[in-house]
Amino acid sequence: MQQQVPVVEDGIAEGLVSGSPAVARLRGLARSGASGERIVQQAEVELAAQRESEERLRSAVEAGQLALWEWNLDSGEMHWSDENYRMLGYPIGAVEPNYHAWADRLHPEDRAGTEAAIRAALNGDGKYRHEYRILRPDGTILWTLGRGSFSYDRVRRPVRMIGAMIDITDRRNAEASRSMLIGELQHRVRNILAVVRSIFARTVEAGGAIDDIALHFTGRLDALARTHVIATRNPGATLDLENLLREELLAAGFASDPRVTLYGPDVPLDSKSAEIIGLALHELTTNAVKYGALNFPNARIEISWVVNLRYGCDPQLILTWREQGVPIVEVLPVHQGFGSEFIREGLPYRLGAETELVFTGGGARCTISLPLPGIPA
Amino acid sequence: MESPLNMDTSLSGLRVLVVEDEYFIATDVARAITDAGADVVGPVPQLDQGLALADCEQLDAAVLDVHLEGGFSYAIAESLTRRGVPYLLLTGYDSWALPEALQDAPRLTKPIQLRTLTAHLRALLGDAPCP
Repeated sequence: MQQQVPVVEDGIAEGLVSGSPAVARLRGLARSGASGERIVQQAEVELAAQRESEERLRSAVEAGQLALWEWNLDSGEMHWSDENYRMLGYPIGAVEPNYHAWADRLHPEDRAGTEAAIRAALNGDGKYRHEYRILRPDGTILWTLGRGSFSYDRVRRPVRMIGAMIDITDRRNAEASRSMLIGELQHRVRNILAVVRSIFARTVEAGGAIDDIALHFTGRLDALARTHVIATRNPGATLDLENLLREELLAAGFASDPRVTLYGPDVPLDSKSAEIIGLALHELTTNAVKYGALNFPNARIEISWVVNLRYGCDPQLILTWREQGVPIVEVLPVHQGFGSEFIREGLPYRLGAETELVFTGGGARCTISLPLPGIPA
Repeated sequence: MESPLNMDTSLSGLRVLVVEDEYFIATDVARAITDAGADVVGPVPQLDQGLALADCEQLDAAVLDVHLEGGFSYAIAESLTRRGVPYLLLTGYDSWALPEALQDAPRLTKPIQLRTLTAHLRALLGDAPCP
């Protein structure tokens, strides 16, 4: 590894300039006996070319938003490109560029690690590469990637470091949001598995023939799946209450049944509310199909909702499910089962809703009122 | 070494706080704890409700969902730590996605096995005498 370490001979400036092609050309002219005027002329040409080359390099460095630095370890002096000042949050030329002026801008949490990376490069193969945060005086935080290399003299004394720093904040932010999304997805998947298992256990507990249990369970699973499909199609999207109802009726086979009337304004529900309300509507629909208004030709269901705007509070959705014309039947097991427990207890628990569910002579009547925090009043 | 499954899972006479925002999971957890003979404080779905109970109620242990509606349950965990009440975290997140302060806390990953929940609670309480 030792042979890869760059070695600077006889000091930096002299070593570089004495070997340059321009100087070689001027020396050649002098040796050939050219006049002083000729040599000066050639020197001007060489200088102009060098200025042009420097200008080109400077433009490229600016365009590439590279923050360059050169550090003389003997004198402690540094040279920074304009972008280096900008990245560190200094007005250009406002401070004497040195190690401390740079280190002062390191994020406190990253300072020790960054300085350790520099020490490791200095004492190792001379190559430095490290990602760290810069904390600027205005409070903005910049993620940067610094890369540089040390040069050593013959006795392997470090004499110079040269390097560049680029802004990688966008990449870092993208990585952070990707991790967050993966975490969120894990959370959602595991939660829904727990919910599904719980629904299964309760459906089995409620008892009945195995075919009925299977039917109830798949119905509930389908209701959950419907809202999930819509909610995950477009993250952050809302589900319209009426669409949710129509989807449920469609799944039950009563898409445009004349016994059912729906009436209410557009209500966008977030995915959590949609999941819970969707399941509640599924339970009401299933009950209506089996024991209620959808089981009797002359019965009706009126489903209506309003949104009350309340000063200083979240708007309130009030949904009423009213069956009429259902002959009196004894209280059936399902009325004490999964569905009614979920409407009476689950909705208040999960959504802060107030619910009322009664089975009267005319059929089921259910009122659900809940705050809608996502909707601007 | 004895596995938690074979350990004494009785929690009789203990008071266990349950904070979990998912209704079905909350009632499952509460039921498992009740079945093991303990009294459930809650369950409650929200951070502020959990905090109020963690601060004021007499508790022997707690089961906390990490990710609640309206924020993470760190504040509840902190309050319980101050009071010396052991707690068990329920989470759908892997440890890398958890805040540093909670990474070493005992936790069960969802979906949890209800059979083992009470055994873990029992283990959490160590050799504390069971009244």
